[in-house]
Amino acid sequence: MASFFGRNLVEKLITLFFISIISFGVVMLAPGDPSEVDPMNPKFTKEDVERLRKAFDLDKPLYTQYYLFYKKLFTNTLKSYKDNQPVLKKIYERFLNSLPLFIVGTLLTWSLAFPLGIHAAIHRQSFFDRSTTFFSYLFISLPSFFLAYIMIIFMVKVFNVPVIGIQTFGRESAGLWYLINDRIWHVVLPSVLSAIAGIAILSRYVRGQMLEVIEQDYVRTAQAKGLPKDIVYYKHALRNALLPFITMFGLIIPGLIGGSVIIESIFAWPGMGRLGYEAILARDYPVILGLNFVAACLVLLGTFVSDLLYMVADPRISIYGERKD
Amino acid sequence: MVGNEQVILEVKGLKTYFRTSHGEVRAVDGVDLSLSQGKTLGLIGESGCGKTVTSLSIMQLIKSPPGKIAGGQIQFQGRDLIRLSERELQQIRGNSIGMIFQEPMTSLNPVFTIGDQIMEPLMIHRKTSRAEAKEFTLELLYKVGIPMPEMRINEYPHQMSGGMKQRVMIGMAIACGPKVLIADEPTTALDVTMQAQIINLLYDLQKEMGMSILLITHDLGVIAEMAHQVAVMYASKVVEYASVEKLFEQPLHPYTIGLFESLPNLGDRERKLQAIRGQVPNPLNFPTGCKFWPRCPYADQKCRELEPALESIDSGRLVACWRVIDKSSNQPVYNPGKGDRERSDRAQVAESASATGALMEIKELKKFFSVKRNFWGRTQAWLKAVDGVSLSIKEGETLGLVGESGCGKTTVGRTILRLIDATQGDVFFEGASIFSLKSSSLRRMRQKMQIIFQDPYSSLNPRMTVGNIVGEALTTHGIAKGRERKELVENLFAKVGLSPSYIKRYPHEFSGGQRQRIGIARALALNPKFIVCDEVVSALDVSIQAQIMNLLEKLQEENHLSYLFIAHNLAVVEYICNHIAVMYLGQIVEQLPARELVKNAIHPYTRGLLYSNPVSNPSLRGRAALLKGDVPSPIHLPPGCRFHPRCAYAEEKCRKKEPELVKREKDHWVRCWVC
Repeated sequence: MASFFGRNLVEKLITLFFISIISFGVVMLAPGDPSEVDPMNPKFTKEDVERLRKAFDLDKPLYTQYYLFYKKLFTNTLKSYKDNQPVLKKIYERFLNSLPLFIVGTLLTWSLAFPLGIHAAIHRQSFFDRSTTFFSYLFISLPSFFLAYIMIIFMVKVFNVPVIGIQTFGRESAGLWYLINDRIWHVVLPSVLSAIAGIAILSRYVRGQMLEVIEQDYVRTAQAKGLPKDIVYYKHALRNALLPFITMFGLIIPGLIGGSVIIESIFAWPGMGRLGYEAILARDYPVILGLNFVAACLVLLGTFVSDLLYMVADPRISIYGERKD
Repeated sequence: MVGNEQVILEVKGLKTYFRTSHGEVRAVDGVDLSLSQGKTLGLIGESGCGKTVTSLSIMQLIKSPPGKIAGGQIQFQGRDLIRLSERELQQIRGNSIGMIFQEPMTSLNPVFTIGDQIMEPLMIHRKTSRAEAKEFTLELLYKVGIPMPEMRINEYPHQMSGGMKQRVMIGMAIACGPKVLIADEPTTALDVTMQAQIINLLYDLQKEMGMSILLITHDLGVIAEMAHQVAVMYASKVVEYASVEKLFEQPLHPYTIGLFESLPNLGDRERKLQAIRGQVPNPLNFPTGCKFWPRCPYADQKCRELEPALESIDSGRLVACWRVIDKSSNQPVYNPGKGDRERSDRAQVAESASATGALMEIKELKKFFSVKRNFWGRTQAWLKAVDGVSLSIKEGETLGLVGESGCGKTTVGRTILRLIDATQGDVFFEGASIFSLKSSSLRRMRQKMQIIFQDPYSSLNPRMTVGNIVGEALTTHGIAKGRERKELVENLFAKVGLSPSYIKRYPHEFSGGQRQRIGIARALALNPKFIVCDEVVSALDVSIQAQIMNLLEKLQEENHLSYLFIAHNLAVVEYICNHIAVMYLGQIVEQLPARELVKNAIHPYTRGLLYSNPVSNPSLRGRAALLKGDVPSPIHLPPGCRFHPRCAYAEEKCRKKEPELVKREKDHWVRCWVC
């Protein structure tokens, strides 16, 4: 067990090291320079540019920059080029903003996609199956920004509630009940919208997986034992159908950062996705790379968690990650 | 159908149809069966004849849609199963009718312990508490011959061998003491030794519990060992019905006769196999008249036009064949003696070949796989798949390599062709060492050494036309292209008995036997001298198996080929080979000429294999299986003689010191202390 954790940790650290090199290299090798953000500005003299480059260590060789950058990151002294705020603090604030959207969206996605997919698979070719198929493809093909505008108009017209932003501006001093209500109304629409495509895609996967498992010999064995249908499907088939989704569980975490850019932009939601997007436009290297590093850590953590879950769920997977057949 | 005994399960006029995009498939079309109390009814026929659909129909487990039961009755305990509700059926399944399936590997749920899976029917049908169910499960595991039930009950299916899993399946099926047990090919996926053990187990359980068994199989040997009555199925119908003694004494339907003539028997290698021509027809376009006539050597005008119904010939015997019903003069008669002259010169081929030197010489071949590594990636445990194998194959000769699965046969075949790299040892082909060849000369050498694989379904690329599959090597080795290549490929097709017009088709359009012919054509394309045949017939039905074996023999004579024939079926190996090497846990334990196998084999393992092979003679049934238990894991090899834990004759010495392979007589080598 200790050997498994140790080995896993070493592997993940090595991966992280290479990610840090590659992402640093990609950002640095991209054409342009943070000092050239506003080259037409007459106030920007050549001396200013040199001064900035010096201040940001941009005049040093790449490997020194790499070393200095990650040293600052780990000592929490990294500052944004744009507003000179500590990068980790910025990311943490945005992370807290993104979290409710992510949690509600993920809960919606997973709690709806599974029952829909399973039911469709068990009643294959039924009216229910055909209609979920139709709606899945409809929602997969509808662009989310288009759907978002329709939903905004609908919500505002029918319920007469504010939906843009994280809360209603200028009402911070209102009562607690009002504040909670306000936050809920604001979180509903963006999280539903970010969940819709997820539900459509995931329920298809679940259906496919379930259909495959239902055809397996051991499901027939369970039927031949005279077990009631519910036990056959929800015990014998489902447990096996769920296994591949454990891997997916580790992969949803990066959605916290990248997947929500469009929705966050539409709803003016100050989340991590927009932080990254704005940092890229501003060539704010510390924020871009800081976010990248945090994302990489989250992904590795996610895969580690799914490895552990896999071991619990599938007796065939041993602690060394090898099949024991 | 049979009078005096009490009938427990009766199927009358069962029709099961499937709707497909090409039309209606009549998988079972009017089948009558009757199973007597405490007896075994064998249902035999090749794949695609409707055996499994019949058994699933009895259990009402046909998926609907696309399947539906279009007619008939299934009478069981005074009720017609077809008319019962799902809830009533659930009370019968697993309770009064148990079922075991062909593939023990996939028929158990991988994520639950075997204990949980056996306890399930007990708790549902018998309403026992968990503790009681567990107690009873331990008893059951003991009863089906699983050692250390207290430990095994908490294991998962993947921790058990195939034979153990099938025992668990049997335990699960008999848990509630069913009146009827349906066994669908219960031993097909197992080794002969395991097959013998499972047959004995079913036999004992039947005697003890008095249940009736519907035994579905394609293996006449298994029928001879177990069945009382036999129904032969062909193309969705029963064509012959008889007691097992009468059927083996004198089969009447030409299809049954064909099955017997296709089947190699141990100790009977002089008889040439008479394959049934063609293959089982596709249910979408059955021939008119008798469905067997296109394959029948006796068919005449009447057979082509009118379909015969099952008619009683003498007491309790039914046949659906015009020739038999009309008692015409050229009534087919099973004559096992015929054709022997055609094979008599076979032994001499080897004799004359022995004068020339060896074509292939394998010396002390070793192949170890690393199975466990420590933190730094250094190997801590080895799997010794092949551990010092020396063999020599002469020109025009067939060397058989037999043994249970997991003994390293396939690894030998792949290592000598350098499809995987050996750990140690060397292989000489025409005097040149293969292992020291550089890649360019190895490529040239590969033209002379080819392989045919076991699974005709997965060994052909589904995205390539069969013409390209066969012709690819011709282009790669720069032998022919364009029109010239096409002609060569067409010739190859004709050579292996396929129409040259097929070359534009894709593998999925062919049956298993045809695909194996394509595999043979591919191996022959480069005009090799040596071919490794890795279990080439074990996935095929008996009639097709005989066709392929006859084809291989014909090609050998025409092209002067040498084969390394890897198989687990002793009768097949004895029939086709000149010499036989028996392998156990990575070593050769005995090597001898094929014609001496039955009479002179002395190693306890070889004798055990011979003994486990089912004999097509119902009067010889009920022999105890000689080989007990499973092949041990090649990672933890037993000390001393590797076979001693399973050997009935093992002595103190066998446990301590490993015997050498010693020459006993001319061409006869044995690795054993006691025999």
